[in-house]
Amino acid sequence: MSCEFVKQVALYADDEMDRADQEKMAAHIPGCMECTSTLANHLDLKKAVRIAGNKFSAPPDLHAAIFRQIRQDQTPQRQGVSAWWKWISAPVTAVLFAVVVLLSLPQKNNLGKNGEESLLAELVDQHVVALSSANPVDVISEDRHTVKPWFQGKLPYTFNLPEDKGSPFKLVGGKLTYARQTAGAELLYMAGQHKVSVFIYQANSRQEKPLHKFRELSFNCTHWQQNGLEFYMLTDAQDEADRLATMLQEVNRS
Amino acid sequence: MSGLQNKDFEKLALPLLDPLYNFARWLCGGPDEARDLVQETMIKALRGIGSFREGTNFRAWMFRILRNTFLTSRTGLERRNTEQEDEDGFEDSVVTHETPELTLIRRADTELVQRCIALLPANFQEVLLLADVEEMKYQEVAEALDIPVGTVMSRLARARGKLREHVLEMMGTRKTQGIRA
Repeated sequence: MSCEFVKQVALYADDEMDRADQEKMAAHIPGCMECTSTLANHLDLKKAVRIAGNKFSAPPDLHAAIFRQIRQDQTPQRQGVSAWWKWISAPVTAVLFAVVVLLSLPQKNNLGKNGEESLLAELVDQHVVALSSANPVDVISEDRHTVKPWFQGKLPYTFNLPEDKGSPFKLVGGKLTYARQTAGAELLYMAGQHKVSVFIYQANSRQEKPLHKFRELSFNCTHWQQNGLEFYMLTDAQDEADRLATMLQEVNRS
Repeated sequence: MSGLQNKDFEKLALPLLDPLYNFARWLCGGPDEARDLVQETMIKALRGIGSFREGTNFRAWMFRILRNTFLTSRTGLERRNTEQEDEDGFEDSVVTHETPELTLIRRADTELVQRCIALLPANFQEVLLLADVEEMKYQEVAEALDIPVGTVMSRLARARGKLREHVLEMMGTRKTQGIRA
């Protein structure tokens, strides 16, 4: 028997539903195997296309050629400029161009707004896979002293996990994960019937960033950066996420 | 009349250079033609900046210029004359269950998926690239391709269905070759 919601899954995966339908779908999916697996398939395919389709980068000299042409197009507006400006405009343009190129190069490595959105999309995919998979983690243990050492030698950094005894959380385990070709840790917690995915990556800077909460595909997302580490937390339960984020922040203070 | 100035154009257009070039390479195939196409697009956009309506989508506007420029090129004309895929049936390719084959997509490597995207008809390829690589909303894709949103949805569903078929087919072939080897 086919679920009546399954035809809407593509719209949900593409983030094309209005808020009310999106919330209805978010509430329905965890209880429906058909929709969960269909969503996982959609997200897998979208992710594969996103990575494979982003194949080509503009050659560096194309930037130069276009910049030159834009400048040429602006030339008629400069009628009446003094003779000395004409002499220095070429070197000034060259220097400006070099600055623009130099400023634009590091953006490939740092995450700009688009980069962050793209990273978030990958993390949401991975959280959904964790929700639907029968084997969501590679190291299965409720003991943080087992899970944390498992990452040793697999990641070029380390992190601390909070003691969850007496809290509403139960550590399920962890696995190595990749987003934007970078290795990171994915930890899975249970908060009652809700699953919470915590992703930990090495940050691009030592800059501290406070908790930032937002929603993506009806999942509650929390992001913060501390002590050279970048944390993303995804779940469908908000109060629990806040408390777990605070616990993680406390144990990872420098 | 647009209030955008040339300096605004640089600020808005230069970050789109890589996405436009990527899209152009998929459309054209070769690096030289893609390069010319992007360059021509940029110049056309700069000269036509007055026709850009502020408040509308600049990215969709740029992709639209690139695509229209491509369609008037030799390769574009050739491609326009080749048969395009039918587009009826949004629901056709909705996956309603997980088969063991579908889990193969998770294991498909990037190169294989790239080969499968290249096998898609042009009208499927472009809608897929704009929606899933550029992460455009349906409305934005519709503006870039100058087609109704409903067509974007049906074309996208069919494109994904075809892509799935190609991936599974190639994975199957590879598996068989592996066994033979």
